[in-house]
Parts: sequence; structure tokens; C-alpha cells
Amino acid sequence: MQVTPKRFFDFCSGHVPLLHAIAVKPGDVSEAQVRQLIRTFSDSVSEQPETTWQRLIELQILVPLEEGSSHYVMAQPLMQLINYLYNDAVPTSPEIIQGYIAALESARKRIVIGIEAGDALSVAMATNEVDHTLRRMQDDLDATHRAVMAEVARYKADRTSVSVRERYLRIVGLMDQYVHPLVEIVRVDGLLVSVLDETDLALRAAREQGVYVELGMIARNERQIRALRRRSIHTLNESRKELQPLYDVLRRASAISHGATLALGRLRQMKQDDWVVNYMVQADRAGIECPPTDSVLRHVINEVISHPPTPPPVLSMEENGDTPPDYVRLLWLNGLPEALREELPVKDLTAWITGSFPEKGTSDMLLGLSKLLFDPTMDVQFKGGKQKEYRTRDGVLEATTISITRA
Amino acid sequence: MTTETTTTALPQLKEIFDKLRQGSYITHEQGSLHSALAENYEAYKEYFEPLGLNLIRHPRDFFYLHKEEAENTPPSSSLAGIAVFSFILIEATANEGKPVEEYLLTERFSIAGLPHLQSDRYKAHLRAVEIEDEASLRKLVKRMVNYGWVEYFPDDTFRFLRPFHRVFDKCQEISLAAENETRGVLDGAPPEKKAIDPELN
Repeated sequence: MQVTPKRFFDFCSGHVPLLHAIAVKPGDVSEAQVRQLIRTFSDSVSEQPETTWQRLIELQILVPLEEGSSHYVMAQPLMQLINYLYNDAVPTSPEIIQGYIAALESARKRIVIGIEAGDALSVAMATNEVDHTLRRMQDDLDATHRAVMAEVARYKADRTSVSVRERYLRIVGLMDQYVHPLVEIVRVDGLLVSVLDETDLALRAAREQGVYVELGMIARNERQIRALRRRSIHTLNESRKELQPLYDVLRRASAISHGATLALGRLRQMKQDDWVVNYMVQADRAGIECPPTDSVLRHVINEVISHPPTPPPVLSMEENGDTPPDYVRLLWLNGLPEALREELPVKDLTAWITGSFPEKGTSDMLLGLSKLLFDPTMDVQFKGGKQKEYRTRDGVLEATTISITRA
Repeated sequence: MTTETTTTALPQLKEIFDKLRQGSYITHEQGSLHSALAENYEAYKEYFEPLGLNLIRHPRDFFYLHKEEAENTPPSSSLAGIAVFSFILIEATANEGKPVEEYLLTERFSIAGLPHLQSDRYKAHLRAVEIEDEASLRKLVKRMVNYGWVEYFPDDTFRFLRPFHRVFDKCQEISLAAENETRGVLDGAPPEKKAIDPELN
């Protein structure tokens, strides 16, 4: 029998509590259960229970589980409508979203092949499939978010009816089985976005190459892809934000009660002192009599005892053949005036000293020059003019000519 | 040189030291002592360290001294009873679906209303530590006052104080250790802490 929309909606509008009661029953319902619900939720004065039952079947609101079965389920489209109207939702598993992604990937491949072959029909069919898949994916992600929000609201509204462990499992289940894996799929570098990007490219190619002339559909798919990319991440992020604080609190609460139960359970399996050491905070009120504490004192005494004595410096009382280099330098400096005096007058003092002592380094040369320049028994003249270079053992001196005579 | 400067600058050092050396906790209820410690925690910690005193700041914002020797000395005989008492109360609270920490630290409890003597299992646990009746429970609660975990009132009621968080921490530690043990047995692999990525993308 053909179900007319008006008849269908008229019936539904008059039996909202009944339909909702059937919808929230888990699994299938038997005829007896439905008749009981009719008696509870329907107005038997305005409509006989039998009539209500007949309408439920005629309008295909209830469909038998299998041909001839006396167990029924609510028709899926109506179930979805009721869930939508009551804001009830079941979370979508990551496997379902992965299925959608696989469907998108398959449609994308058919678009690409269709473009290459110039086959407008297969491109049209694949594009249509992309459209449906995108819609269902977004609906399911939204449903997950609604399920999370509903669970969070239930937790906040009723904090006493179920044990910490049960609430922990519900919240953690949502987080670990749904939200967290879904986040992995829809994240920017995840599977979903890469498939959406590739599908987007395929659709653009279909439009640019003119294989598929219904540009409206392609444009709609492109819009949907953009929206899904943005909304899926946002939706799941919001879900996670809602769950995270409860997850943290419940995780700790659950661990605390679990720890307490565990400790109690082991009380009679161990010696009491050992049990206390293992399972209780070592909070003893024995105060500190006189700091520093024994451990510090022990540590200090141990350090004194085990401290290795530093041996005193040993003076070498025996002479060896090596003369200290500083002494050698001093002797050389003191002997310089005498050595120079034998050769006076000298027209270029720097040339004389560098030529006479080629084994000396630059610093020794400068010391030697200073010694001679300030010698009161000699007269020094700076000739000026062009600078000359004088090589030493380890460098070069640049100076104008200095002549020297007896004072 | 640095220590001298720090010492003279540390406010209420004598009062803080006197309180802590008795084995007491310093919580918000100690007002200025707590705020002095909270503002200069590192400086006080540095000051006490050479004396062999480890000043601990608990994440719930109270302070106490930890002595290494305490770990090597046998536990006080009253700790077993206190432990059993605390664990029973935690378990009973969780079983009633109440948020354990929030409930235990905000409610005022009467000795007569405690769940300890209302279940055979709990009574058996208590008997193991020689607690048989309400009077011994009361005595135990009064002993917990000395530990700084409880405030007892003349109308035979009491409330838990912030340092009782150390017992919660211990329970969490026991649970974690047990979980790790189980995981190790199950997969032979080192336990992995499951963290939630704080930022999506």
C-alpha cells in the first residue's frame, strides 16, 4: 500500500510520545511490547489500540525484522528523523568514516578515468556519488559531536547515579574509540584531507576539460569539500574540548578508587608492615629534632674521612743542567750594551740587532731595542724617512732607521 | 655569600621552620606563612637543602618537609589503620558515583555516618588492623588530626584537609603500577603512557 506523506505525518504528529518510546528501545521490539507501549502512550478514547497497531504496520513505521517475524524495528528513515528531532545521536566509528573515504577515493578514480575516456555518464555518476558520500560523512561527524555533547550533558546533569568507574568508561570510551581516532583521520595531514584534495582536483579537471556539462553539481561538490574540510576538523576539535576536562578528572578519579580497592585487596596477603610501606604515604609526624639532619652529618663526616689528602708541594733540591729561559733572556739583555759598544757607531740599530741575533723572536727584539734606546751611555737618533722591514725569527718589525753613537 | 643574602631576605623563616620541623604541613590555612613560602619557594628550598631537609611543594599548593631517613625507618603502627580507613572511604565514595576528591575534601563527615561499619567486607578489613567499633574509628580520626590530614570538630564530625591529597596520589600511583604490571605481563613490552595530543593540527 502506498504511503502518502500527509497520512504518514498526520499519524506521526498524533503519536509523538509513542514513536519516541519505540525509537529509544534498543534492538527490535515484539508485537506484545509494541501493544503495551500503545496502551501506555496512546489515547485509547480517540483511537482504539488495535487501530494504532494497524496504522503502525500500514504506514511502514514498523517493519518486521524478517519476513513473517513477530519482531519489529522502526523504519530507518523515521528513526533518523526522530533522532534528529530529539537531538539524539550515536557516534560514528572511525571505521565508517574510513569506509566513506574509500568510497570517495573510488569515485575519484572513476572521475579521472571518465575524463580520460571522455565518458560524461560515468563522470556524472561518480560526481553524484561524491555528493552523497560527502553529505553522509558530514552528517555522521555531526552526529558524533551531538553524541559527545549529550554524554557530557548527561554526566554534568546526573553525577550520582553511576559509579566513577562506569562514567570513566563511558567518557573514555567516547574519547578513545571515537573522537581520538576520528581526529587522526580528519586532521590536516590526515587521510580525509588528502582524499578531499585529490577529489577536488578531479572535479576541477572534469569542469575544465568540459567532459561533464552539469557544472552546478561540480560546483556544489567543491563547496561541500571546502565545508567538510573546515567543519570536520572544527566539529571534532569541539568534541574533544568538551570531553578533555572530564576525561582528565575521571581518569584520576578512577585511578584513585582503583588504587584504593587494590590496596585493600592486598591487605591480608602481605605482612602488615610491608603492606603499609608499599601502599601508604610514608607520612610520619616524627619531627626534626636538631638540623642538620643525621644524613647530612653522616655525609659530612664521610666526606672528611674519605677525603683524599693533597700531598704538600715537593721542592726539588737537586740542580739540573737546564737554565731557566727567563734567566737566559736577562743575561742576554744585560750583555747587549757591551756587545753593541764594540761596534759603535751603528747607522741602523734595528738592522744590527736583528742581524746579530737572528735566533731571537720579535718580543725579545723589542725588549733588546728598548734596553739600548734608553741606555744613558749612548746617543740615539731617529732618522725618519721610509719604513724598512726587519725579519725576526717569528715575524717582521717595521721601523724607520735608528742610528746610535756613544753619548 | 649567596646564602647569607637569601637568609636575611627570607620572611618569617623562623616561624616557617618551626612549623615544618614539627612535621606539619603549611597550607592556605596558615595564611602569611603559606604566602611567604609560595612567593619564595625556591629560596626556602635552597636554604633548607644543606640541612638535609627537602622542602616539597605539592601541586595542590601545600608545603612539607621530606626526610630521607623517613623512608628507611619502620612505619608508625597507626598508619596501617589510617590507610585502611582512608581506602575504604575512597572506595565507598567512588561506588556511590560521587567525585572522590571533590566530595571527600568538601564534605563534613560524622563518625556515625561513615560507611566503614556498614558492610561485612569493610568490617573484615578493619578487623585486620584492630578496629572493631565506632570508638576505635573515632580514635583513628583523631590520630589523623596529628598527621595534618583531618580537622576534628567537637560535634563528632570531621573534614579532610588539603594534605590528604597525598593519599589520593598514593592510590593513583598504586593503580598506575598495577596497570603497568598487567601490561608488561600481557604484551611483554614496556608500558606506554597514552597521552592525548593537546592540540589538534
